[in-house]
Amino acid sequence: MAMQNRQTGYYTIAIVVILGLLSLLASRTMTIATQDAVRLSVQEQTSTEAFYAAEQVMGQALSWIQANTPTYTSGTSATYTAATAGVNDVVIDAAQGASDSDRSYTAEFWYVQGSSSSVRVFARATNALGSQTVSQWIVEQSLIVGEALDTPIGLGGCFGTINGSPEINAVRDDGTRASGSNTLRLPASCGTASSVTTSCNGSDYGKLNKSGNGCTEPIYAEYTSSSDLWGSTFSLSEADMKTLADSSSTDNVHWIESGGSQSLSSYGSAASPIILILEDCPSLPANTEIIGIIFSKGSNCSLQGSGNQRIKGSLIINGASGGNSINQWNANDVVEAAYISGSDSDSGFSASNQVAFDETAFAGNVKLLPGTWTDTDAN
Amino acid sequence: MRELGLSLIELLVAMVIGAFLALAGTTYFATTFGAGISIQETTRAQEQFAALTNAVRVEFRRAGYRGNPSQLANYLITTEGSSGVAGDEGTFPAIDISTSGCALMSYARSHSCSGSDNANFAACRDTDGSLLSGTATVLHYRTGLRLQSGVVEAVSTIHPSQYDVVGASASVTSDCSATGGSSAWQPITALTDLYADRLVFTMPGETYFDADAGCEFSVGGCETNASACGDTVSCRIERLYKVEVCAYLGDTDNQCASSPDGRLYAEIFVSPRNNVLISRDYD
Repeated sequence: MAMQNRQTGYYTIAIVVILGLLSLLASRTMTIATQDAVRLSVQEQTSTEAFYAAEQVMGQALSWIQANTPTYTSGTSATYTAATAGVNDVVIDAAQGASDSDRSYTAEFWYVQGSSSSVRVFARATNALGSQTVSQWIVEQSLIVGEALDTPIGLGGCFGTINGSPEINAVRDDGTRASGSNTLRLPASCGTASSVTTSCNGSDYGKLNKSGNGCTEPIYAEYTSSSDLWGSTFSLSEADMKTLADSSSTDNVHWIESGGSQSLSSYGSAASPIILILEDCPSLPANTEIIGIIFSKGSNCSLQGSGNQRIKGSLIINGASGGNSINQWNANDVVEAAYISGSDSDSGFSASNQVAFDETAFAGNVKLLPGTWTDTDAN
Repeated sequence: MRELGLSLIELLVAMVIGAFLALAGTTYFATTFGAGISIQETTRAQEQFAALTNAVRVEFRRAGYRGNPSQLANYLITTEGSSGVAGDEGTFPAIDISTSGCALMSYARSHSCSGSDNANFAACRDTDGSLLSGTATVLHYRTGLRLQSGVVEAVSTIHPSQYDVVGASASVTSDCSATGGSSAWQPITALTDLYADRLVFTMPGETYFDADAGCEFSVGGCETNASACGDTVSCRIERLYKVEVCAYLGDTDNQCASSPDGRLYAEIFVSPRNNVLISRDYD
């Protein structure tokens, strides 16, 4: 009897075991399928996420080189991590619904020098799930064009009344010059090239010459078509320059927006000349000393002041095509070309500022080269 | 002895319970197993769909890469055609979607001259016609995606216009209409797993920039006429592409025509990282 009871139990156990195996098999099939779906989703998300992280690192790399000079080692390469560059690692917001699953990527970027002023920027984002690298060629470009410092004065319009003899020092006492020979550049409507001796209203430009010595400071009209001197001065568009001026990482580009005559303080040094952009006329208090480029969008400006205002570099008044850019100027002011050094200047600049500077002082603008972005290591 | 046996009622009840259990178990197994198979099929379809959409993003993003600055300059010089216009709209268009259901892209890859390259590529050919063995250069490749009878195909091969030695030509065809044994196109989806019903490439937007002045066309004092691009100004063009993909399991055609609901469907907006370059006519 006991034997028969155990045999009955075998059938039950067999059925339960078979059902269990079937359940396990079905469950396993479901599990594999679900795992495949999850794995696929994770792989896709990981690849996309790493790419966007790498693009963010590229943004950091471009900002960094805009404000810093890489220290190239091993020949032509300079490598930085977030820590050594003083930036943050990249965090991608991967929040799904209510759960916060932000992921951090280690940021690394490096620069490889190419020919001329070109640099290849690499950016890499890495975490435990993967890594992605992108690269972009750039050229390090001066903020100003090569001719911007050739003449100490540029006018979009003409001169009005000139009283006294403000000193415009463009040519060295020995007659040599770094490049160009112009004291003044003006639209052609104010005179003809190489023979400009009168202003639009007939006044004599000779009063601008250094110590009245017109022989060593010829005044030439340089511009023959456009009276807009922006493109002849800066290599950036106005919008880009404004963005640069607003950037906290830039301290040598200033943009003064307020209207009216804009009273200036002393700015810049020979080691760090400034770009000063004014949306109206400059007003130079006595003893103001500005080293760099003043670009004013004003017109009919009076530079009448209390005397001893000094500008080393270029003063550009862009407004009033066909009319006056400057309507009044008196003695004791000095505008001295950037390349004049202390030994041949009697401009009254303090000794520490009597050194030349050139457009390389404004280097650092980064320009992306279209057609050179890639996400592979191929050249 | 009767205590050891089963009555008819007991037997019937046991059989009903057993049959119910067997039926329930079988149904459970069949349903679960079937669901698992269905999920696997769906996963395979999704995997191919995801690979397809990823390929679209990657290829469009990279299109128009021309190498390092000197290679870029050389590209602009050497692609100047009889019109005097040089750049991406000529010999090696960055992206060409002029054929319905087909997109052709081009970008540069590094290449070391070897073998019979001197018979095909000028950059690998010395003045006497011999091979400049080991010379590093870049060759333009053509990549592409197209829809052929429910299957998405891809191509990646040296661009046919890159064969610039007189008399040389590519051994395979890679244009949108290429078929047969010489076609370089290869399927990247399987009809048994995924029926690709729609693959539509459009360009909903583009913005022109004066590359010399650094300004956007029609903004401020910038150039206003797009026809000046390549004529009086060098320009770069930012383009936005839209790629619409619709696919599903099964092989019934045209299910995406009315609505993509219930299908695998994606609208991919992608802007190439490399702007289109048009160099002005300096002739």
